[in-house]
Amino acid sequence: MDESSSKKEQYVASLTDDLLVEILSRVPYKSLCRFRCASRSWLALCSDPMVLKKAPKTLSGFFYRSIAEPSYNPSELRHHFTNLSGTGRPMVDPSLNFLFSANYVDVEFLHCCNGLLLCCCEKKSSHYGVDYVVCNPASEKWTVLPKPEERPGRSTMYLGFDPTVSSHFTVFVLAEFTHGMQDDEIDEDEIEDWYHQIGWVEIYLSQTGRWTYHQSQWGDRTIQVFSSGIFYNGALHITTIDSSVNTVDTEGKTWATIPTPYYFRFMGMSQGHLYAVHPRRYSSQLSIWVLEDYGGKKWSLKQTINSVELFGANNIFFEDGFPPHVIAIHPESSLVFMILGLRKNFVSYNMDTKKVQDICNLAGESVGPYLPYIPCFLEFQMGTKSCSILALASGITSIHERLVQNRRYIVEFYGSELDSSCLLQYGDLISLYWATLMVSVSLFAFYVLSVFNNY
Amino acid sequence: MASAGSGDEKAAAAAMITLISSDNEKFEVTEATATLSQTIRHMIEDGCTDGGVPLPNVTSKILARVIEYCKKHATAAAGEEGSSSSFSDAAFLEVDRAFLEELEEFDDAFLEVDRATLFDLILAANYLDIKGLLNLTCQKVADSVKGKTPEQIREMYNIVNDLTPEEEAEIRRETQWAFE
Repeated sequence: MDESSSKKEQYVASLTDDLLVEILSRVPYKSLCRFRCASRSWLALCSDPMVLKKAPKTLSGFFYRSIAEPSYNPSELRHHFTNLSGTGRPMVDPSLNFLFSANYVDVEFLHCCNGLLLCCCEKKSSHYGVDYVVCNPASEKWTVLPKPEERPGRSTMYLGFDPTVSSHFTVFVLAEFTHGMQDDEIDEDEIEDWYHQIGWVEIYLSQTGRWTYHQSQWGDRTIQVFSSGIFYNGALHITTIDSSVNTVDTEGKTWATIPTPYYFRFMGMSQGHLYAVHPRRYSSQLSIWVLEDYGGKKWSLKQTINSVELFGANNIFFEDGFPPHVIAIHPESSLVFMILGLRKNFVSYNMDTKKVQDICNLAGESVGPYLPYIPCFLEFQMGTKSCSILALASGITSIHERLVQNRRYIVEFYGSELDSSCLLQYGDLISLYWATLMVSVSLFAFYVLSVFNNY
Repeated sequence: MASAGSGDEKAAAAAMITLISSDNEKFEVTEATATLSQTIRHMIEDGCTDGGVPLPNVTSKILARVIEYCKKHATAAAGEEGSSSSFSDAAFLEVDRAFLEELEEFDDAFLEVDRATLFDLILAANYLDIKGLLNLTCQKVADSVKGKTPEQIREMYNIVNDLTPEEEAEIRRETQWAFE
């Protein structure tokens, strides 16, 4: 008994920290959370940013809304979340109650990127006043963006966030060049058919807390309202109807155009590559493309789905000539998610096995956008609170350094507080130093003057 | 043509590498098998494999298993390269699928070992820098812990709970959803 237990200890201790990170980063987040109360060392390990960063990306579901019949009334818009994890509670509270309890009466989903959600929230207090809010539904942390400048014409907003690169996020506002329709002429059914040319792009960086204005350098490429946009490689990528993907980086400095073989209505990211889908309405085919050679800007055809071959002549893939509405591609596997037909059957298509699986039937009154949600458990940061961020960052690094150095991982979980007080003391010391220096300089000057006067 | 083929075979036969385990057992393997390990690949490139490669961190028992893995995966890699030119696309895909299935079955059977051996395999895969084997073994450990309770984890890994009851209650409160 003694021998076996000592042997056990031996082989756990023999694994280096790198290997423990390697193993735990393959464990689902929910299990990691439970393991935190196994012991102090496991608490540190299972909270380690290295582990959380590498943890498998799970597409946990989709955010969308629905309109209650019969009349269009903002207060009757309801919020939904399709839970893909199957059994159990979804990882988030789909009602986003933390926003409603903060005095917002309506929340409209705009874009979702790597676990953060960009919403337009209607305030209760002022009539029709709105806030643009970025929130992390997993941690329920949220922040209100400063108002972008009001400009004529319609605009579309996209969110950029890549927690593996930075804990800061970016918001892009793409707005049309000139003339636009009047707001009161909005017809929900027609919205998808609107096209516009991008005149300017306004970019908000959470690191600086400011909006910057940039004249578009994409030329006369035209995008659709709700054009498929995705944050990839540190830049916003957006499809245009002129068979291209336009890109702009977070600083508005690098503008590029990647030609595409067709107008890609949908674009997504999977296994590190950009994917796009093109429905061919008249041949009832769907072609799936992948940009494997990003630098060479060359798209290759991954697969063509021939719906007639797969499902026979009268299939729901192109019911009444409506092409499937592709809404996402799984970040880690070969699943493409789409909504089929007028009854809005939500299905997944497996590119490897070529099989279609039903997920659910979305309510007929459901409205887009349908936003794929991959939970993120690393917190986003705002640049304006630089002091606390410094403290937090040093707290995290100190945990990680100690992890790397010590086998036993004796870590103060609340180390960040200690570090912030250290920072303050350091700042105090500097000001004390300056004060002393100033006093001694003035004393010296006074002494020199008095000596001079005596002469 | 025939003579060229036998010449290649001779060259392949000549390129044998001797691996020496920590308990001084010698293993003869082909270069294709050995170079699945990046560590050994670098040693071959540097020309320091004459007289055998001593592996003081790996026992003969573990090294035998590692070689078994490398042999299988080296032939798989060679098969992929060889078949791509000689089959039409559809036939190639078919062969490819069968091959992958066989490889998966091999991997599953390969992982049927006790926990101590699995941990030794992880250490060896890390030391020899064999990415495929490291992925495979780490995933196996990850799969064996996921879904477990903290109590089961303590039991499995002989962990002494050094948290105070108050601390533990606090952490549990914060992560309540993970226990539902």
